[in-house]
Amino acid sequence: MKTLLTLIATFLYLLPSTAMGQAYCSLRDPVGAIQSAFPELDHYRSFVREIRPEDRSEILESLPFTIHQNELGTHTLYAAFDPDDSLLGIVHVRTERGRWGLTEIAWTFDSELRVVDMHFQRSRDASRQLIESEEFQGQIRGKNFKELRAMLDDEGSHIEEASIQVPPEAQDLAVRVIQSALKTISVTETVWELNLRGIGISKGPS
Amino acid sequence: MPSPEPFVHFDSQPIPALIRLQERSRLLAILAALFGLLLALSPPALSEEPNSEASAEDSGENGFDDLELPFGQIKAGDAWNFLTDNLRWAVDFAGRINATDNSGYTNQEFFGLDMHKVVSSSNRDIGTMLVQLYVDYHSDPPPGRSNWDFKTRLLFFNYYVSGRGGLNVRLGHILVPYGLNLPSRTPGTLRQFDTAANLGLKVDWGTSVNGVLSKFNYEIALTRGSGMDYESENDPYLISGRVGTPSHLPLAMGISGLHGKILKNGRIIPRTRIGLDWRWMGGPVDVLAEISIGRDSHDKDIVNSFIDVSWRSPMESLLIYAQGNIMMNRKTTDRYKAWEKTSYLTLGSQLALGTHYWLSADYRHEITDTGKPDRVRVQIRYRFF
Repeated sequence: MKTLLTLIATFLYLLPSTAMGQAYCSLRDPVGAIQSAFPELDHYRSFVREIRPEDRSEILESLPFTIHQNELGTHTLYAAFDPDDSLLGIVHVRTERGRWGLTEIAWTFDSELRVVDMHFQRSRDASRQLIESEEFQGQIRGKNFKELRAMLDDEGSHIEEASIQVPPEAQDLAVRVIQSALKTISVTETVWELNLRGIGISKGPS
Repeated sequence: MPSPEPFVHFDSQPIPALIRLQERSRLLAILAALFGLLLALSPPALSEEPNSEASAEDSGENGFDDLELPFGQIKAGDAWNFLTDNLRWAVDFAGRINATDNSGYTNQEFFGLDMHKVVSSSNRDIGTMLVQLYVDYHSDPPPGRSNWDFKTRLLFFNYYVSGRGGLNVRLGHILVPYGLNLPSRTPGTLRQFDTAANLGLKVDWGTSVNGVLSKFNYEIALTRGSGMDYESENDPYLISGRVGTPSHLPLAMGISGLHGKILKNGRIIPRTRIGLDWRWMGGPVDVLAEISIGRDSHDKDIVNSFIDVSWRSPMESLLIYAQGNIMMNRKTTDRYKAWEKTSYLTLGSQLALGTHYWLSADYRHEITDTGKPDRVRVQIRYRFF
């Protein structure tokens, strides 16, 4: 009986892990998101890097909420260029826990790490359309880390209504989206710092 | 249980095995040469700061000399970075038990390597190389193969002709672009869609043009028609393609076509298909569906349909799905006779145990009455990356 209970406890401990080990043939570049965010796009360049446990510690210092161990691993940052090789911006896809499965968001930032655009790569949430609406997008476009941070309360778990207007039914998803933006900026600055400098992006105001 | 045997049986099947090996070796050599050429013609990967102290200090430490190439120079210190830059790799093991209600157990083990490399210049991706090589053991192999077998699941280079992603050329062992087979969701898993049952193959040797545009994506392929192994006996070939709406939308649709002569178990089968597929995700369940009409061997009309309904937990550690498919055929000369039907119901689940282990199981039951036995499968999979 004790062995069975131990097995069940182990099972329950392991269960919350996300299924992140898909074969690499399922990897897809967010080409549609890059094209849509940068109409003058001519080409892009990938930077594949590993988010390590020590990076997680550094990232956590800048965030009011935690990031899961399963968000470590290998990820890709995309830098978009125009025909003259001038940098248009960067794109980073992050995966977040959703109500009905994982939500993937492609974030696009300018050279000051301000939000240019966001695209759901995958979302099953009914509030998706409200988040994709111009009304919401207009409120986060052009915002940097500090301005996005101010849209959440001290714990980073609720909308700060003085800073952003979100319909009640979309507030849960809006919180996850803003958390995702903060996390993406912090992860990008921490893990891809050398790449950012290499393409002419200096660390933003965290 | 039969004892493990060498991958290729020169004793039992001397000539065909040798031919297969030679053809495969030739293809691998061509692909290796192509990849090597692309590596050679690409300028060095300057993913880090080009003049950083670290780069200067590391220069020459890994035993490479500077390489002068037509379109750039690979410095001694950058050569290793160039090979490892933008590289992912994983070791993939799986053990599977199959049980049918009219016979005993069989088991299969898979041992594989999965590599994904983006080849880039200093500020542009040139293409993507994917390598999935597996050795598998089957305790009761089907006729024509031995217990141990070497499989090239996927092996291709996708060259980005346009930097925007609108036009790419893929070459190698590729997924047949048809219906739910693209994008790939089910490699190495028990959960499979009806591509193999409908088309007779999921992967094939050849080339394709593909791309992503603002309103749709596409892939059109010309391939050998022999599936997993490259074989040219009786000149098989296959033309296939799919055009679909963007896959990130809650509802995505695609139209596919396929025509050619497929080499299957030593027989040539003329095959034509036109298909529609749908993918919808909008809350607790995802629904994937596909319907195909076509003809086999010039004299058999075909209608195949498939649906997959799935639910996943918030972190997608648990996936539960139900699948139904109906396969219908009749002689073209028997237009007024009833279709011959075979239909199945499959129930399955997939559970992630930590970040490296997956436990899967499925049960398949035939709804029609052609005598197919019920089947239960269990699989444990381990990916180290």
